[in-house]
Amino acid sequence: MNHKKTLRLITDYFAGELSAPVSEQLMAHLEACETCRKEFEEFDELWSRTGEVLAEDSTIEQLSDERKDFIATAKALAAKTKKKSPTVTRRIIEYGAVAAILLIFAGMLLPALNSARSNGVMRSARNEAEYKRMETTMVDIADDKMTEGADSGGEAKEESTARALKIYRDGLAKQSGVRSRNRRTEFAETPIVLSGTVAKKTVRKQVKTKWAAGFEAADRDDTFGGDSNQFSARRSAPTLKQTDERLFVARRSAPTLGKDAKNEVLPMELKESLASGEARHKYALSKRKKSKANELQLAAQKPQSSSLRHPGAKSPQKIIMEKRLNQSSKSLVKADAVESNRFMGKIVVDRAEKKGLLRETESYADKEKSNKKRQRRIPVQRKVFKLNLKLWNITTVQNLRVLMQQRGYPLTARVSINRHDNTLTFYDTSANLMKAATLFSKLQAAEKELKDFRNGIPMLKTKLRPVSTFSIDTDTASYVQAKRMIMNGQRPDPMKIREEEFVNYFDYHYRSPKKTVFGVYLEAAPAPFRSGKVLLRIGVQGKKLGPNSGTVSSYTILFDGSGSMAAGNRLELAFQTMQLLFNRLSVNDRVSLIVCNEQPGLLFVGRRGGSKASLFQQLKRIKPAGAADFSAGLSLAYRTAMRNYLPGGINKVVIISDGIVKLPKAQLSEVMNEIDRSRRRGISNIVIGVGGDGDDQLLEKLAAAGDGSYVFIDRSKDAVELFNQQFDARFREIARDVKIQVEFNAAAVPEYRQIGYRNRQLSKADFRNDKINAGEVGSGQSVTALYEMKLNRELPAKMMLAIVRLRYKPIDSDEVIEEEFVITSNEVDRSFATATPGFKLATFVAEFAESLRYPETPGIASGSGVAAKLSPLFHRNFSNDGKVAELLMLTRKVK
Amino acid sequence: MPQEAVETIIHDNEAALLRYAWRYLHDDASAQDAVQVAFIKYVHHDKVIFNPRAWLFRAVRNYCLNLLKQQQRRPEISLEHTAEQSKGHSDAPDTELINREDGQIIRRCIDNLKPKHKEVVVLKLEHGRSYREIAMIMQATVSNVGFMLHEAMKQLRSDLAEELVR
Repeated sequence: MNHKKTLRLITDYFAGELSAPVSEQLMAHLEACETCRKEFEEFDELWSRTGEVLAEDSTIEQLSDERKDFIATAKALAAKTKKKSPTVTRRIIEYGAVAAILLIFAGMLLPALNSARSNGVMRSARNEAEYKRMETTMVDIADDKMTEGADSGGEAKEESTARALKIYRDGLAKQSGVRSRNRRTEFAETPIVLSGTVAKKTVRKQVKTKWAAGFEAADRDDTFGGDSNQFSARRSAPTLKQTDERLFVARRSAPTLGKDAKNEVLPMELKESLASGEARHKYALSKRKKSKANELQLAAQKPQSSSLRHPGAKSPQKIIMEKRLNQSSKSLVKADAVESNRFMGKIVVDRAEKKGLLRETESYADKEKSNKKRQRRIPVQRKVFKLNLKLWNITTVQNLRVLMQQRGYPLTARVSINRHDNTLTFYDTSANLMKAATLFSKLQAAEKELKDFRNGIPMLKTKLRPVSTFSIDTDTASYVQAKRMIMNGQRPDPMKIREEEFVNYFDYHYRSPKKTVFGVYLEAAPAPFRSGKVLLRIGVQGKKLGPNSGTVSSYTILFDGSGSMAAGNRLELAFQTMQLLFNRLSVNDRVSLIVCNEQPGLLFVGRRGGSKASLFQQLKRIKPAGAADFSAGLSLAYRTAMRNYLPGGINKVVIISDGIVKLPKAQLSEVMNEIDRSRRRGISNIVIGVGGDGDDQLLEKLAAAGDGSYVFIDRSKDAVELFNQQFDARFREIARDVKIQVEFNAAAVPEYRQIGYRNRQLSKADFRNDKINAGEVGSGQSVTALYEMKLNRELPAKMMLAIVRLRYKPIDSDEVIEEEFVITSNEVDRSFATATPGFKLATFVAEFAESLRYPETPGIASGSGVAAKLSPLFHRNFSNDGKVAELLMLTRKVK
Repeated sequence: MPQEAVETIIHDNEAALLRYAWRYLHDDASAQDAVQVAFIKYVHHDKVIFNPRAWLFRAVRNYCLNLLKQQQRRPEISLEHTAEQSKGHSDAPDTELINREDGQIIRRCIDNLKPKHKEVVVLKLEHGRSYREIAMIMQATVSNVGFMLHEAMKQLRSDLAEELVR
């Protein structure tokens, strides 16, 4: 008995589920094995304690009396409605009744069966009724004779049937001779109409004949199967009649048979005999040319004469007769069927043409070959265009249609849009594709122009793209990292510069909104570094929440315990960060710590914030070593956060890392999905970066995906600031999915460009799609976005320049709020000098960021150029702001 | 079914069922609702029920889980409320305080178990149901119930050990 097995047995023992011999075995083992005994005792204690704790919860012991009464009433009701079990006599009566009903049915069926036997084939009740009706209305004598024939047996019966048939037909000819002739003329002419180009007018008519053909085909299934009996002979009479009275039958059968026949493929027999049918049809046509009247008579008399030739024939001969009968009538029908089939094919082509369905056209081509007459094929081609879909705001086919329409190219083709690959796939005729290609080459050229920095940073044409949409970004890590590099005498990597993170690092002292969640401040003034351009600043200030009263919070810290964290001051900074966080915990808050190295593990889970000393003590157990398996660590962290979820509180995963982690690309999407799921449940994150030589973009991505922000800590001062001044902003959100959309007025602003927010761009349609994840804003946090615009000269007063829309979800409600703000031409400052200090600062910061992002691009000021203008501003307005002083120093360092 | 049988079944099980429902819903009235619904379902059920007790437990469980789902709450047993409620009504001596502290830790540990494990623990340790009955209630197999209980106890023990190390 091994240890593991014993443990399981101990559980079962306490559960009272162990059989006597096994429990004896267990006892024997326990006596022998000390570790197991200890285990047993511990278990005993645990079991009883847990039981006690669970029993402590007091609750009501009884249902209230009225509820009991209610149940009693329900029971009484149920007893009343419930079926009593049937007694034996009742059963007998039931079975008897069923038997009687069966007998009656059998009695009714018997004569029918008999007559069917005499007829050879069972007729459906409807057929019979129809047939009866026809018989009575059309020819009474024939009817009588036929019934006679059906009733008598043997050869005489057959004979009489044939006679009846003849009389029947004669009657037909007498009664409706003229009319049927007219019909036939009409019918004979239809194939010619069809074989020519198809006019849409004939569609309805042809479908009708197709129905008729289907009806015939269905009939033929019976008659052609070699069934040599009287009934099929009788049925051939209506078939004949149909030949004469085609349209009448078609009309009658259309509602019932038309549905099936419309889409039905022709039966095999028909296909086989197609050639002969067509030949006959041709023959008929040639005859018709010679003498229409002659031909008609021929067609009318041919079946008659053939039936008369064998009045009393025996079965084999009868088959021949029937075949002749049918063929003569069919020759027309078949030919018609061929034509209408071809016509149906044409419909298929038309549809294919409309939808641009390539495959259907191709498969149809094969069918067509067999028909020998080739239809004109629609050459549909496939063409792929590569385009930055977000830039052109193409999310759906509708967007594309509008875009193309505006540029004079109506969308006719089938298109598929791949947003991940940025490709559009068109299926259309080559002529249309050429048209589309000219349009897209224009757009591609515009795209290419945007990537060309030789003549300064390119601007977007408002006419091409009047709407700019982006998600808010409150990260600041990019600036802190760049600062560290510059202080070390290095030039930061241009790819790691995110201008918006530079701009948002500074305080612009926007007024805090009193009633609404956000205050939006628009300001425009001439750009200081590039003449002729105007800068638009959009400042969004979030409201400041009151003091934290009673909100509980649950933090799950994911600590990167890889070996790289031991380098420099990283560990020290990380520990300080955690200690600062612990210090902020109140008694009801919870914190869990996960150390992520090769095997991520929980250091502690769900600890209350009360005992800070013990939390600090735990940190000493962390010893960074090895590589960090971040995918396992992240998933463990999020699972732990889920377990410690506090409804209505702050639930945050705090990721502390230097970015040197193991996170294979294959697992990245999985991790991102998990983060996204948690985000929807209300668990956000904050990524605290240290070190600065790791995967900066990964950390930014994690923060963006998890409704969080990415901050970088370089000095202990940063950490202190994060937990003192910025704590509310970073840890207490006021709104989620904050998006901004700016729509420029092309009449006033011919060109514009946005500064920064490159990886936060959204498509136009994403703005009102509330499923799209966008940036979060914390309490009292502000966000600033800048646009550079070129304005038309001599603008009329109060001309609208741009509409700014803000859309967000307040944290405490599910509704989505959209607000709209407008800036007009007379709100633009006369000169840069008269702009507000905040505006000036933002301009300088953005310019500095761009000088680092686009080194040696004409039109962008150098660091010292920024410094020259920043210095007076600093001394006048920001002399108390340490951040600005730092910036000034940095700008002076960069050449 | 005879009238007396229903009476006895109600009498025998109402307390346990109320406790069980309360564990999910944390509300006396809702728990009473759940039990009442279960009994009404029981009297309306026209097929033979072999184990009425397990059947009733299952009915209560289904009702509670459905309700929680409707309320968009997280469908698991939480001991959180108990902790708050039991705070008020007893001014105990020191030893009991320590015991209570202990109890809180156990509560929290149970709270941290997986939802299914938690259910097994409650059914076994609080209600003393057999594996067979638990299997019927939770729609699991008997061996699975045994395994879950074992896992739950193991987890509970390690969590407790960790908590008490401090």
